[in-house]
Amino acid sequence: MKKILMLLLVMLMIFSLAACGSNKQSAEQKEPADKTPEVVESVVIAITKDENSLTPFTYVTATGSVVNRLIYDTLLTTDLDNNIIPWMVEDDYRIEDGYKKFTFTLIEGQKFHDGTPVTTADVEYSFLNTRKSTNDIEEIEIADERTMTIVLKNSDINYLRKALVGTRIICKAQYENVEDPKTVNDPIGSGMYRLKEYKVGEYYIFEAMDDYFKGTPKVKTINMPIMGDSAAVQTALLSDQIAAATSSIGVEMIDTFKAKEGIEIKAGAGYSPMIMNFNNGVAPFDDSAFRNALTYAIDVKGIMTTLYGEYCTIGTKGVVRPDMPYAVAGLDYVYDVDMANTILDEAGYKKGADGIRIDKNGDPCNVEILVYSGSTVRIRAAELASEQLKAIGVNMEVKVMEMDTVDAYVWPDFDVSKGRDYDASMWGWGTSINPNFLVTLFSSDFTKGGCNVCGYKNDEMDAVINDEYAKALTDEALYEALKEMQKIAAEDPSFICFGFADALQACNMKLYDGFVSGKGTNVVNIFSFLDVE
Amino acid sequence: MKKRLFHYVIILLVVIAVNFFIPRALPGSPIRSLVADEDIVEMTAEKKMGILEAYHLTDPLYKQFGYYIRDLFTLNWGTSFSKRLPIAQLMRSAAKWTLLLSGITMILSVFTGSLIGAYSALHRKKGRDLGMVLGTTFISSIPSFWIAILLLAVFSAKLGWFPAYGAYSMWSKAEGFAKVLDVAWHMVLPVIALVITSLMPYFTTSRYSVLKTISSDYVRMARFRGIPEKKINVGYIMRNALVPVFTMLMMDIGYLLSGSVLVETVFSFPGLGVLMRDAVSARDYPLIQYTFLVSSVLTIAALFAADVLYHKIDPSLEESYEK
Amino acid sequence: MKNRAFMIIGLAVLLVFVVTAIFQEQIAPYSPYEQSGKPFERPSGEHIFGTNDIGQDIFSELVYGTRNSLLVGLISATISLALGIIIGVSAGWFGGTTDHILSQITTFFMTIPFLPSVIILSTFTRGGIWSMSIILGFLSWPGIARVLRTTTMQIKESYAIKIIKGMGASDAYIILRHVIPELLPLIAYRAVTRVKAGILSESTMSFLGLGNPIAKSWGSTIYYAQAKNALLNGSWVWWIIPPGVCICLISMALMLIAYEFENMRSSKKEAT
Repeated sequence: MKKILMLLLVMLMIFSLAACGSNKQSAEQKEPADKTPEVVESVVIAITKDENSLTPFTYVTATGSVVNRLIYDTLLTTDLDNNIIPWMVEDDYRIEDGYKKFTFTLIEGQKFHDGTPVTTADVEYSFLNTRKSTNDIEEIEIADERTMTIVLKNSDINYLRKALVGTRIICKAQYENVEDPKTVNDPIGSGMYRLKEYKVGEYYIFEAMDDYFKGTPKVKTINMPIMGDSAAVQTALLSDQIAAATSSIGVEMIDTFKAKEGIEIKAGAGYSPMIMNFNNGVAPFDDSAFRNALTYAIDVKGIMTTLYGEYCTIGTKGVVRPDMPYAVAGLDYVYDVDMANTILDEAGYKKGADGIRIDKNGDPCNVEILVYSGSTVRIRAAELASEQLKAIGVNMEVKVMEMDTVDAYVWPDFDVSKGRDYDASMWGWGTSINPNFLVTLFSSDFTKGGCNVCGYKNDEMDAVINDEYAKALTDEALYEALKEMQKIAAEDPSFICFGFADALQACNMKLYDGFVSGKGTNVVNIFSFLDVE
Repeated sequence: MKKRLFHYVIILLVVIAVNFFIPRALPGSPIRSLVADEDIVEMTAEKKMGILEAYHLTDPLYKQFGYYIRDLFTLNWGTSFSKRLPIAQLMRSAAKWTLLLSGITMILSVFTGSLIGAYSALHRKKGRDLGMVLGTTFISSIPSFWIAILLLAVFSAKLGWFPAYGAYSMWSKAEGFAKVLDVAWHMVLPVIALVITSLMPYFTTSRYSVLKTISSDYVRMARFRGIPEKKINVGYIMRNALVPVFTMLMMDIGYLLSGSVLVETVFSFPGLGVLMRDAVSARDYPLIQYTFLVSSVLTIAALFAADVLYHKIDPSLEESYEK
Repeated sequence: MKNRAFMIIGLAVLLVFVVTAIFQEQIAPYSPYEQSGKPFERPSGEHIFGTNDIGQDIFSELVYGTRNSLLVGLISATISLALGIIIGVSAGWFGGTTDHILSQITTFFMTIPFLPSVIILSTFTRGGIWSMSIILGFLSWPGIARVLRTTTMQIKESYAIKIIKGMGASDAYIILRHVIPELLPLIAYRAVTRVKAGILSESTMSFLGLGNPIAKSWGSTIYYAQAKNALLNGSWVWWIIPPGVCICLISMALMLIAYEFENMRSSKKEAT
C-alpha cells in the first residue's frame, strides 16, 4: 500500500517538475525576435495545413498558394488594393489586340534559389507545363533571354488574373528531364524566400534570399509550424507563441484578441460570398415571382449582422461586392414581410389550412435546405432564415450533411451539366474577384456557366453574356455589360447573396510589426516581408 | 484453445473484407480534398477522371479489392488523400502517441481505481465506503469530452499552466530529457481527463473482489491465527483482488487503443482517434480503411487475450462451452 | 438499508428530467429557436445562462434538449436490450451450433471499434433521433449478449432447471417462466446502464458534430460552444458548464438506480 502511494507521489512530483521545466523552456522561446529596425531574426507563423512540397505540381489549397507565393514569383502580382502591378517584368509591358497579345521584358538580376538566372525559357516552360493556362495559348514568341510575347487563341480579359498573376515561375532545368513532375519535392523558385527545411506533418522553415532583386526581405527566417486546429492556433496567438497564422479568426474572438496587448486585428475585405441557392428547375423555385418574394422575406442584413457583427459587407441583388468598380448601386435587399406575402398572394400561392402555402402543382411549400455539416456559420444562417420563412407560409427544413454528400446533390461531379437534385442549399464560393464571376453563375450555357448550380436560365441575361460581354474589348465596355447583368439579376433573382465576411486575422505586432493586409489578401503576403516603393 | 484461435482468425478475415466496403459505400468522392477549390471549376471531366484513375478509383470493384489485399499484406499502405503522406507513416506516429497516452492512462487508472476500491472495501464499516461510492459514481458520470474541455479552460486557457494542444511544442527543437519533459507536460491534462473517466470499472471490480476475499475462509483463518491485519491486506487480499482487475484491464484495452477520440479531439492530441475522425470527414478511403483495420486488429487481439485469461481463471466455464 | 436512499435520490432526479422533457414548452422561458436576445449575452435576469452565438436563450436550449437526450437513451437501450436478450439467451440456452454461430456474430460485432463505427455510420444517416438510436443500439448489444449468454448457461446447469426439464417442460416455457425472471436483475441493471450510455453517446456524437445540429440537444450546445471558441473568450462558464452538468446529473441518477439493481442481484446471490 505504502509503496504504491510513494509511486504515485513520485509521479506527481515528476509531472509538476515537468510543468515548471517546460514553462521555463517556452519562456525562453517566447523572447521576441531581435528588434533591430531593419532585419528581424525570425518570426513564427502558423500554417494550418500540411501542403507537402509546395511546388506548383502538388495540389495545394488556398493556404498553400498563399505560402508558396513567397517561394515562387509571378510575372504580375496584385497590390494591397487588389490592383494588378508588374512584378517580375518591366513597367512597359504591352497588351495588344484587346487582351490577346502580351509582350514583356523580365527585370534584370533575378535568380533562382540555386543561383541560376531566370530566363524567358523558364517562363515559357512554366506557362506550358503548370496547370492553369495551357489550353488558351496559341503560341509563345521568345525575342531574347529577357523579352517574350505570349499570344492567346482568343482575347481574354481574365488572362491577366488567371495566368499572369497566378502562374508560378519554375526552373526549367529542374523539371525538363523528369518524367513525373509530381515526384520533384524540392521547390526551387525565384521568390524572396527559399524553403530551407520541411518536416512532414510538423513544420516548414523558410530562409530569406539576401540578394533578392527587389531588396532584402525584412525577416531572415520564417518558422511555420503546421497547426491544424483553430483553437490551438488562437491559443498560441493569445499566449505570444506565434506572431500570426494563415487562417482567420472567428468574429466571436475579436474582443478577446483586441483586449490582448500587442495584438492587432487585420480586417481584410472578403471576396467570398455566402449564398442561399435555389434549384431553379424545381417547384416552387421555378417561379421567378416566388424567388423574388423570398428576397423580401429573409432579413439578409439582420442575419449577416447577427453572424458577423460589423465585420462583413452585406450582399446585394447584384451579387458582386458593392465596392467593385462595376457594381451597380441601389440593389440592396429589402426586408419586408408584407411585401413578400403580397407577392405570393398575387402570384396565386394560397395558404393551406395549416398556414403553409400551396404551390402551382398543388403541393404544400415544404422544402429542404442542404448545408455542409462543417460550417457552423452556414448552419446558423439557414436556421435563422428558416425561422423567418415561417412568416410567409413556407416551411424550410434544415438538413445538415457531410460536405461531399451535399456536393453530390447540388453540384454532381462538379459539373453543372449533370443536373441537380435539391430544393435549396446554403452555399458559398471561394472568390468573386474575377469579372467573369457573374458569367459563371448566370449563363445557361454550361460551358460558360460552370458555377450555375441553380440551373438559372434567363434569355435576356444570355443575350448580354454572349453579345456585349463576349465582345467587350475595353474595360468600359466590359463594365457596361456587367452592369446590365446585375440589373437583370436583380429583377429575376436566381439565389440570395447574403454577403461577404471580412477576412479577420490577428497579428502579434509585438513579435513582428511588419504585417500588412489588403483587399482579399492574407496577412502572409510579399508586402509583409518586403518594403516596396 | 486452437478452436478459439481459429474463431478469431475468421473474424479477422471478415473484418478485413468488410473494412474494404464500408468507406466505399460512403457518399461523395475524395476529389474535393485532392484539388483546390477554384481549380475544380476549371477542371475538365477528363482531368478529374485522371485523378480518380491514378488512385484506382475507377476500376471495377473486384479489382480494387485485389489491390487492397495486395497492398495490405505487402505493407504498402499507400498515401492518404487528405494528408498526402504515406499512411504507414501516419499510422505509426499516431499509434505511438495513442499507445503512450493509453498506456499511461491505463496504469494510472488501474492503480488509482483499484487502490480506492480496495480502500473503500476495507473500510466499509467506517462509512467512508458510501462516500466513495457516491463520489466515484459522480466521477464516472462525467462525459469525457466535457471534463477535457473544463480542464482545458481552467488550467490552460485561464491559468496557463499547461499547453492547450498537441503532444509536444511544435517548433522548438528540444532534445533528450528536455523533450521528455515537454511531452510529459503536454500529456498531463489529457491523462487526467482520461483517468477520471476510466477508473470507475477498476474501482468497482477491485472493491467487489476485495469484499469477496475479505469474507473468504482463508482470510478468516489467517485472522484467527493472529496474522497482523496489514500483512493480510497486502499479502493476500490485494494480490487476489488484482486478478479480476487485470482481466478488466485486458477487456478495456480494446476501447482505449481504438483511440480516445474525444479527449484527443479536445486537446488536438495527434493520436489514432483524431486520425480516424479526420479521415472520415475528408472521405479519405485508404486512411479510413487502415485506421479502422488497425483498431479492429488491436481490439481482436485484446479480446483474445482476455479470453485466454478468463479461461485460466474460470476453467469451469470453458468446459461447459466445449461440450 | 442506507442504499435505498441513493435509489430514491436517483429516481427523484430522473423524475425532474422526465417532467422537464414532457412539459418543455411550459418550463422554458423562451423558444430556443427564437432570437430572444443579442448574441453572447452574459447570464442575467432575462437569460439565466445567457445567450448563444445567435442570440438564442441557452437555458431554453437545455430544457428542449432534455427530450432528445432521454428519447435517444431510451430507444437505443430498448434496441440494444432486445437484440442482446434474444441473441444472448438463445446462444446460452440452445448451445451447439446455434451458440457457435451466434457467438461468432457477437464477437464480430464486439471487435468493431465503437466510436469509429458510430462516426462512419452516422455519415450515412445525418442524425435524426431514430437513426442515432438505431446506430447506437445496434452497436452496443454484444456486451449484453455475452453476459446473458454466460449467465444463461450457468442457470441452465443449476439444479432447479435440471429438475424442471426432467419433468418435461418445453424450452419456451422454461425460458419464459424461469430463465428470464432469473435474469431480470441483470437485465434491469444493464437496461439502466444502457440508457445512461445512450444519453452519453448522443451527446458525444452531437459534440463531434455528427448529430443533427439543428435539433436542440445538450451535446450540440457544447458543440457550438466549442466551435465558437467559448473556451477562449470566457463564455464557457455559462455555455459549457450547464449542459455538462445536466449530462452528469442524469447519468448519476441512472447509475444510482443501476447500483441498486446490482445490489439486489448480489444480495440474492449471497442468499442462494
